[in-house]
Amino acid sequence: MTFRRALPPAVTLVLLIAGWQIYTSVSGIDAWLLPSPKGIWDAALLQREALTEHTMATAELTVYGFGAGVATGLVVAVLLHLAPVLRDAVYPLLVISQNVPVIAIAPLLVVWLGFGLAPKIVVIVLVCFFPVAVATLDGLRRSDPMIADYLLMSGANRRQLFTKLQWPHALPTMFSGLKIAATYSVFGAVISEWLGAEKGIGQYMMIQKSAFRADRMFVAIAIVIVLSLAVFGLVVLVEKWTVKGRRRG
Amino acid sequence: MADALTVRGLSHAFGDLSVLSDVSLDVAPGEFVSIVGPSGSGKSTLFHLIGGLITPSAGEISVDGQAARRGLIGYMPQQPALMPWRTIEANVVLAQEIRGKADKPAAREWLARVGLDGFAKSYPHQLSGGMQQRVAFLRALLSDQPLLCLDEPFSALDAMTRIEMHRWLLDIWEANRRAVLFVTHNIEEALLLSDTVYVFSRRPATILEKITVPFGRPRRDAVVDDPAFVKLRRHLTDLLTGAPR
Repeated sequence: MTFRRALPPAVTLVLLIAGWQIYTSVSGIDAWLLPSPKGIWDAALLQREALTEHTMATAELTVYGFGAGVATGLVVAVLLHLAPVLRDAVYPLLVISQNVPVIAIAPLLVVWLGFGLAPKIVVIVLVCFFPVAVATLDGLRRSDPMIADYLLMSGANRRQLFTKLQWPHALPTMFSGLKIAATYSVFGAVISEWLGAEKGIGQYMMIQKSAFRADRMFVAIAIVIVLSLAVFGLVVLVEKWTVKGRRRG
Repeated sequence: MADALTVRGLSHAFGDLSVLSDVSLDVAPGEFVSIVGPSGSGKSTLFHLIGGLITPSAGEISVDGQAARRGLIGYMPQQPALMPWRTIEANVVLAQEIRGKADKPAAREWLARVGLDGFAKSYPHQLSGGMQQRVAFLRALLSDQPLLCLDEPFSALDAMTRIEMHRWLLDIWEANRRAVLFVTHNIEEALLLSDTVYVFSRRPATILEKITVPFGRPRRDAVVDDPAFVKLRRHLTDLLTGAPR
């Protein structure tokens, strides 16, 4: 993003935080109800070491979960694309399955898979794979029919049609899905930590909630935002390296 | 040597809709043959049949002595149909890549020869419509097939660019005689470029007339002012618009 485009939201953010700071000191509202930005910052500095450890744990979990979720999404997309029968049979159910709240099945996953890494990864995969699968599948299906005709008349087989046209054409749409999945992944990791974890921002949140430490809750929220932006930024970076030329649509 | 293209008694229908009816035509090696006809007269269907995309309802097609199938022709579609994510040189070698080996150095040499030097590493969106069509033509030419099929390649270009492209195509083609089947609805374009012109009727398309163009090669642009040319153009216009002959 260029500086020009980054400036307006940055100014808005600074104004919001300044307004918040002024409101808390003028109104004299209790810190356990609404802490001031300054108070939140101090709370973060005070717990620096513990927070670093929690953040690293959540980051690690996010990377595993996001990786597994993206892999699952891509495999589902390619399978459904290559086997139209399968697509007709599975796709509608896939859409319906997205209406099942992950929070509701998460405890079940613990019952089935125990308290280890497995149920946590599954939770993240469940929130991540869908946007990747749908976006990639759409991209694969919507490649230019004229280029397809050209390739077929030039003697291309099905594999060449896929590797030379459909897959490269699907990349930009796939990255849109990846960006959505990236923002979901951290949130998925935090939810999975609520199920029971020894470390992690989710577990930290649960403890601070029971202690009514609003300031530390805000610290946790800020960390979740920063982590999400980091994963998102990573996806954008990979997209810049991968997607060449200008795309229509 | 077998003809680059032989079509005998070709008919095709999509369900109840008859598109082509008993079409026979030939393209000799090194011959430039055009088909003119009204829009929607099944010209594109003819290419899909020759290219092996669809199987005809009746009749025979042979390309360079072999029954028509996919991978026998160099094809240039109506729109350039370049891959936006590939550089120009990667687009040019696409047909070669499908058949096995891509020769990028040769592609770069050709790009320079057709007035596109310096664009090898550019992407299609950075080129004008006319330049994109040159790339699409080069892609067909470098597929190294004995027959080039050009489907109204200049119909989307403005009049000025179109005239430039005619000159450009004549120069390249006259230096590398390859059998060409060229479809257009532009009468002047067909007469200017071709050795032989087939006139198609409205759907279902039949051949109204086969015309041998009486001008030699290399052909100059000024030929369009030749009285014989003007007379032929008049004749074709009457044929196609159904005016009294």
